Amino acid sequence: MNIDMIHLAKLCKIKIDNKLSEKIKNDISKILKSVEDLPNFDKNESFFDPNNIMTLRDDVAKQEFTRDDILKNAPKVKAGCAVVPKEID
Amino acid sequence: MNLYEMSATKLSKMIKSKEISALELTNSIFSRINSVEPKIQSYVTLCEEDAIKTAKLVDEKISKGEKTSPLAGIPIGIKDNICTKNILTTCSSKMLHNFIPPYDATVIKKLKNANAVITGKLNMDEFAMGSSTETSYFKTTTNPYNTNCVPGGSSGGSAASVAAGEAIMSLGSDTGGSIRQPASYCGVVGLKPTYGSISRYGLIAFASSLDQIGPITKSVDDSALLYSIISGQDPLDATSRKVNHIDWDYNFSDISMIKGLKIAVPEEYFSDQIDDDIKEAVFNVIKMLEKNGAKISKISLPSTPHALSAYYIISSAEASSNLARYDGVHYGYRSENYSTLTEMYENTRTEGFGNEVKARIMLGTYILSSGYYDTYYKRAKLLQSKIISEFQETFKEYDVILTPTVPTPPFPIGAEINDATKMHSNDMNTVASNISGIPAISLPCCLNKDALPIGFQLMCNHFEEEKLFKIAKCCELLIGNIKLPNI
Amino acid sequence: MSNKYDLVVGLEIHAELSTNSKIYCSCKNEFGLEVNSVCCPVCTGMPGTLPTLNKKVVEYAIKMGLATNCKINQISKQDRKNYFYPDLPKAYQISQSDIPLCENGYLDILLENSKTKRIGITRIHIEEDAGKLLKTDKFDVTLIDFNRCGVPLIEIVSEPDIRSIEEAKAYLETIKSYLTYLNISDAKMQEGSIRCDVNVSVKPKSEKNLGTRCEMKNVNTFSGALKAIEYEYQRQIDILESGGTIKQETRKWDEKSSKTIAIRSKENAQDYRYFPEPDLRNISVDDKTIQKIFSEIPEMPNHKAIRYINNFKLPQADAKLIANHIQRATLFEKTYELNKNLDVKMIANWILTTISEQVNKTSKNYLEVITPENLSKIISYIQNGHISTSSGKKIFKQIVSDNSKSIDQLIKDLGLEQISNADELENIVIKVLKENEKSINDYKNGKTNAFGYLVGQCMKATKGKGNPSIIKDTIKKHI
Repeated sequence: MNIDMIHLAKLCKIKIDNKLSEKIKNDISKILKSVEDLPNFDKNESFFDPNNIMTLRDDVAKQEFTRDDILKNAPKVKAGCAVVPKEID
Repeated sequence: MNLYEMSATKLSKMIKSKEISALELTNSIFSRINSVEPKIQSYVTLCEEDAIKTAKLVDEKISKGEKTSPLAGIPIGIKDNICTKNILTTCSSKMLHNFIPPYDATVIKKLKNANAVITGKLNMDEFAMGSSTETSYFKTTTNPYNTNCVPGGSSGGSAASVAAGEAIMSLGSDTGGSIRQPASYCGVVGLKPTYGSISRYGLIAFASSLDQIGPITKSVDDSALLYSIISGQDPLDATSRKVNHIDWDYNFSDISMIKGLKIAVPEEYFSDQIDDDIKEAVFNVIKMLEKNGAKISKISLPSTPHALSAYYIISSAEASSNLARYDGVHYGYRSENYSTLTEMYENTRTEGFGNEVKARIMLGTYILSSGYYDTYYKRAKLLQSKIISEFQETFKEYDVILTPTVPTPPFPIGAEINDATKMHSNDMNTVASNISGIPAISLPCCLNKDALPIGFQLMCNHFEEEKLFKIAKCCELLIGNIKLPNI
Repeated sequence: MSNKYDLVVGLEIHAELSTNSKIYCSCKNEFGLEVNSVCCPVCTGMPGTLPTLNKKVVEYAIKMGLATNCKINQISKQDRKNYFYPDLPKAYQISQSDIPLCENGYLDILLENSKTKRIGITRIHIEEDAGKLLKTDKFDVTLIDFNRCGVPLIEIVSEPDIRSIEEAKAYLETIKSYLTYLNISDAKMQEGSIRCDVNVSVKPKSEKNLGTRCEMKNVNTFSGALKAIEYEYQRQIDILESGGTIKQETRKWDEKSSKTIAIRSKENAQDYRYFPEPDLRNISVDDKTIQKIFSEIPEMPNHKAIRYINNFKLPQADAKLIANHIQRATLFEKTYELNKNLDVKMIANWILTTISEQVNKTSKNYLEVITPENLSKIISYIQNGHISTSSGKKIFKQIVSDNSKSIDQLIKDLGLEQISNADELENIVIKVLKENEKSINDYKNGKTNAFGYLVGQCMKATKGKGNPSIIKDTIKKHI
C-alpha cells in the first residue's frame, strides 16, 4: 500500500523517525486491507439518518468563567492572552 | 470481611444505619490503598484530603437526620479521562500531565451532589487507546489476580482498583471494550451503557460516536446503583438521550425470570480465536441457564467479522480530529524546542503523544484525507447501519445475547505491546456494541486454571438496561461470587 | 472593462449574527470587550467539552434564506472542517458541508437606470467564528484573543453571476441591507461583523465555459473587495493575453500595495477532511417554525427601492439610500401614510439631509430624532406655505433638543408663520418695486442679480416671513 508517510505526518503535525514510520505504515496498511473485505455499497447510498434529531439551546447568555479560569493552563501568557511564535514556518 | 471487600449497596445501608461512619470507610479505603498501591499502581492522583472532607460532611448530615443519597459516603475512583474541577486530569498522557480542568464533568457533578467520596484519578491507557493500560505515560497498572499480568485496558486502573479494594466502585469509559475487557480480566462487573444514556460532557473524547462512561463494580446491584445516579439526559451533551428511570429493587432475587428467557448465542463470537478455557467456561454458564429454563438458540451475526475493521476506521477517524486540539497553544504540554509556530506544533505533538496515539491519529487522518473518505470512512459508517439493523432484528426474536467478553485470559505485561494485531483483536467481541450503541455488561464467571478471571458478556437492545440488570443479577445469583484476589 | 473578456465574480460573505449567546455555548456574544473575558471551556476547546447549538442561530439563518428565496433544508447537519491555526482552539471549525440550512435562492439587485439583475445564491450555512490573533511590534510573539471563538456566522455564497464591479457593489450593499433589515446582524465592516471572500475569473466573451478562478480571502472592506476584483480582472487578462494560463490559487488583497498576492496554490491547498460532526445530531425545522419566521420578514430593501422609483418617482440614488436603511424607510413610509398629499421628494430630501445630519451627530435612531407625525406636519406646512423651509428647519432643531411644545405652539412662539396671503404680499411687492426702480431697470438690462436683490428687499419688508415663491411670482408679474 502506497502511503505518503511524510505528507501524512505533516498533515497531523507529528514527526516520526523511519523506524516508527515503517511500523505505523504496516499497521495502517493491515487495517486498511481488512477494509477491502467490507461489503461494497452503492455509490449513492448515504449513512445520514434523518431521524437523529437534537433539541436546540435557548439563546440565553451566561458568563460562568473568568479569564483566569481560561488561561490558568496556558503554557505562556502575556497581556491577558495565550501567546505563540510570530513566525509560522 | 474487610470493609474494602464489601459492596456499595451493603456499605450504604451500614452508613445510614450508623453501623459504620463514612469517615471510617474512607479511612479504610485509603489504608488499603497505602498497603497495595505499590503493587497494583492503579492511581495517578489521590484525593485523600477532599475525600475525608466529604466523608465528614456525610456523617454530619446523617447525624442530623438529613436524607442522603444511596451513594453518600461511598468511595469511588474516577478514570483519569473524566474532568474533575481543580484536580489534575491527565488521560495518562504527557500531553495533559499538568492539565487542571476549571470544570467538572456532568457525571462528577452528579456524584458530588450525591456526596459520593471521590478517592482519586485512575490510571488508563493513554487517551483511552489500548487494551492493557501499558501505554500510560506514568505507570503500568497490574492485575490484582496476578501482578505479572495486565489488568486490561483502557480502564485498567478502574477495574484493578475495584478488584483490589482500593475503591468500592469506579467509573471507566468504553469505546471498543475499555470497561468490559478490564472488568473481565479483573473479575469485576463492568457495564457499557446504551450510547447516549450517560452524559459525555467532561469525558475527554477519544471517539465521540462510540465513547460512553460506565460503572465498574463488584456486583450487579452496585452497577445498577451507580448507573441510576449518573445516567440521564444532559443539556450540555447533544448526543445524550432521555433515559427511563430505573427503580432498582436491591432485593430482587427472582431467578424464575430465567424461565422462558430467549438467549441468543452468536457463533461468530465463539470463533477459533477464542481461548478454549474461555469457551468452556462460557458454555458452562449457558448450560446453567438452560437448566433453569432459558431457551438457548444458536444464531449468526454475519457482520461480526467486519465490526472490528469498522471500529478501527470510525474510532481512528474521530480520534484524529478530537486529538488535534492538543497543540500546546493554551493548555497541556508545550515543547521547549521551537522557534516557529510549525515547530511548536510538531515538537509538542511528537514529544507529548505516545506511539499508539500517534499511530491512531495518523490512521484516522489518512482515512479522512482527500480521496479516501468514500473508500474507508463512508464504508465503515454504512456497515455501522448494517450492524445496528442486525442487532435490532435479533432483539425482535430474542431477549438477550450471550458471549465471551474477551478472546484470551489476562496476558503477561509486555507480551502484546509490540504486536498491534494481537492487541487489537482483544476487542473483537466487544466492539459491535459500541458501534451499534446497545448496552453490554461483563460479569465474572470463574477463575481459569491459572487462577485468572474469565468473564462473559450479556447484551440487550437500546435502553433496556433494566432488563439487562435483571438478567445479570439472576446470572450472578446462580454463579455466586468468584474468589477475591490475594494481593 | 475590456471588450474581449468577461469578468466573472462570485462572492462568499460571512456575517456575524447578533444573537445573545454564541453558537455552541452560552457565552455572551458581544464585540469590543477585554481580551479573553467572554470565554468558557467549550468555546476555547478544552478537553471533554461539547457543543450545543443555539436555536436563534438556526432561526436567523432561515430568515435570511427565506428572504432570499432559498429552499430550506428541514433536516440538515453540521460537519467538522479540520485545520491547525492558533485562533482555532479545537483545530477544527464546526460548519456545514453537504447539507446546508438554505440553498438555491436569489436576490434582485438594483443597477443604474433602474435596471435590475438577479444574482443566484448557492447556499447559506451556519458555522462558528475563530478567535483573533494580535500581532504588534510591542511583543515578539503573537497574542491570541479567544473572545470571538464561537461567535455565530452565516456564510452566504453567491453563484458566479456577478459580471461587473457595479454589480458587485450593488450585491454587497444589498446583502448588507438585508442583514440589517432582518435585524440578524449589525453588518459593521469596521467591527469585522461582515467579511467577504472574493472569487474572480475571466473568460473570452465568446466562450461559454468559465475560466480558472482565484480566491481572495477575508477582504475586510467593501472598497477593498471592489479594488481586488478590478486588479484581478486586469491581472488575469494580462496573463491570458501574453499566452499564459491562470493558476488556481488562493490570494490575498494587500491594501498597502493595492495588489492581490498569492498565498497558496492548488497543490498546497488545505485538506480539510470534512466529516459529519459526531457531537451534534441533526437540525430539524418544522413547517410551523418556517411559516412563523417567514411572517416576520418585512418588504426587503431592493423591492422597496424599486417601489419608490416606480410609484413615487424618486430618483434612483435617493430611493436606494432610503430603502437600504430600515429606519429611514420606516420614517419615510410612515410619514407618507399620515398624509398622502405630501411631496414625497421633500420627505426624502429632509430624511437624507437635515435628519441624517442629526442622526450622525447624535447616533440616535431616526425615529427617536423625529416622529412621523411631526415630520408630516412640518412638510405639509412648508408645502402649503404656512411656514418657509428655513423656518421648518428652525422648528426641527427646536424639537430635537426639546419636544415638549407642539409644532403649532412653536410656530406661534417663534413667530414663524409665513405670510402667504397673495393680496398682502402684492401690496408689499408693489411698494418695494416703487422704491427700487433702478434695480428693475438693471434686471431688465440683463443683470440677473437684481432680481435676487428685489426678492431680498421684499423679504426684508416682510421681516423674513414672506413666502418667497409667491413673492417671486408677484415680482415677475409686475415687472
